[in-house]
Amino acid sequence: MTKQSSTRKSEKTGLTLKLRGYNTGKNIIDDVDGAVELLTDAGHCAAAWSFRELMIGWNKKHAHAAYVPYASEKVAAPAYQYFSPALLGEGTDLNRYLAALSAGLVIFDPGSKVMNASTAKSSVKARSQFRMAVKQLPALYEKFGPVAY
Amino acid sequence: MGKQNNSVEKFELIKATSFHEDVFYEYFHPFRHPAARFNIWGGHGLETFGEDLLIVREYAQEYVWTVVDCDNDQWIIPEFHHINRICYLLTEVPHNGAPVEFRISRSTLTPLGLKRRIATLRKVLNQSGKTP
Repeated sequence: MTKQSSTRKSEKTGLTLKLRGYNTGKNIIDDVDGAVELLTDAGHCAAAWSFRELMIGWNKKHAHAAYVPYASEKVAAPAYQYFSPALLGEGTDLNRYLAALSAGLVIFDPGSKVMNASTAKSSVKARSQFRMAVKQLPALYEKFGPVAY
Repeated sequence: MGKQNNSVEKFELIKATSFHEDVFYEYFHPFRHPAARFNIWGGHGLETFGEDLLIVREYAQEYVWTVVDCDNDQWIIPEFHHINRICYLLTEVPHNGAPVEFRISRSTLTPLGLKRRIATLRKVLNQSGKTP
């Protein structure tokens, strides 16, 4: 661990989340070949998301986002009720995301599952998510605020 | 998020029968499209943008599924959707718009449990006239 990299260990999984190549002092990527990594205590990489791949996905999927408050009922048939205002977020980049991850505003929610582990047909289903509280969302966008509809 | 009282509209939906995700893999057989560009969803998924999205839009829609995030759970639901989407999946077996949904779970069904739920799925598909 360097002074500039960010690490956080999960008590539940025993894995440490590290932003390799991200300078937390300056809040910049100083190694484009870096990655968000999950490391064992021995330093082995259990999972990694490269900055390059994250950058493509992040910029394309989150450049314009709408967050709509709702309430749901699941008594007979499911029913949803939506409320105004929605929150609109515009303009983002991977640096904002990594800064939020480094600050602990974004939480890693692991979701991998090994199927048929004891057989020759074993497979891993990977569907981990990164989550954050609604109140922290402004950190991800250049422009963020309510819009009545 | 602070909620105001100006509700817009209430939507009631057709009730879908929920299954464990293991049933989805066993019955519908998702596969990785040979032209997929990313490795989302363990490599089976297609992204929500770029060439992956074009593949999804041009594919026969009865084989297209959407992975969505809802109330901190993830679900696989039939057809193409925008809201809360994570990625798209293609399957060898068509859903034909059946009222089913599959909850992503970290547990695994026992062989007997899987067999029983597959039987229930067949029944639901028969009753809805959506049998592939």
